[in-house]
Amino acid sequence: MANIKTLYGSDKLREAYPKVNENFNNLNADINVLRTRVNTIITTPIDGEAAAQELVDARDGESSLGERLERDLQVVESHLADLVTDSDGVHGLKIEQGIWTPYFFGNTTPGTPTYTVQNGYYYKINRLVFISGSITISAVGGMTGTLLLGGLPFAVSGNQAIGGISIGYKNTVNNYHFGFMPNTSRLQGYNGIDVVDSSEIPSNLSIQFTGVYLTN
Amino acid sequence: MVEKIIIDMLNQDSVSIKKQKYIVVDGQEYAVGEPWRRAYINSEKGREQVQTEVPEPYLSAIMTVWGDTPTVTE
Repeated sequence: MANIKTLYGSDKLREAYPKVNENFNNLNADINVLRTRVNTIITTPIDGEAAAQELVDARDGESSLGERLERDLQVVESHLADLVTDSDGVHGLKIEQGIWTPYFFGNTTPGTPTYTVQNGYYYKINRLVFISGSITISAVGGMTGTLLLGGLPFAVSGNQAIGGISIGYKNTVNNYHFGFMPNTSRLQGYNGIDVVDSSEIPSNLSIQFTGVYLTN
Repeated sequence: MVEKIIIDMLNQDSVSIKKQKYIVVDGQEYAVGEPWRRAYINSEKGREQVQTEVPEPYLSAIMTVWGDTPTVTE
């Protein structure tokens, strides 16, 4: 509190002016103290018991804020995006990628086609399976009956409609397309609206495709 | 290099066989390359295929769950 010197009616001007100046100086000093205090309150909104409680809460069971921050850092690092490939999954999101081997076969006689290209990749996110594949044959190998494409990495769900694959490349003018068969691990070949007879396909048939389906 | 066969998603109607190669360094196994998978269906043809392509003891484990008769008609 400022020490205000009292002015009296009997004070002469040369006595009063120093008192006035001194009073203003004291007031200025007090205002500066208040300003500092206000700034402190703004930047540190609470003190005393409440501040201590807030500190305890922030530690969240750790002995210091530093240990709490270290614990949080470890939690964050254990959930980095590149760890979503963990076999156990992260946050219930199970992702797996790998390879599969597509193959043609006939529904009546599977046959033994000769392959010059035969590879596939899959990417599975929970029940959703994305596949891509490339097949080129050099001999039909005695296949008869409806042309089928087998070897899918996961069974096709029985609860989905017949989805299709997208053929990005084929070396035939035939309007070939393939549909996922529910409750199986294969696709059925179509030429327009008719199924494809595996004995009539080009002996050098080559297709490259992608597709998405649901598994169980 | 060792290859492990894993029976995955086995139920009465289907199974997905997963094969993964591993190398062992200082007693610790490390996966090499990507896993390979093929699904088999408990149908007449699927049962024939699984018996041709899946070795024991995995085959017996699958057939124990699938039983004696196919559950899926393809």
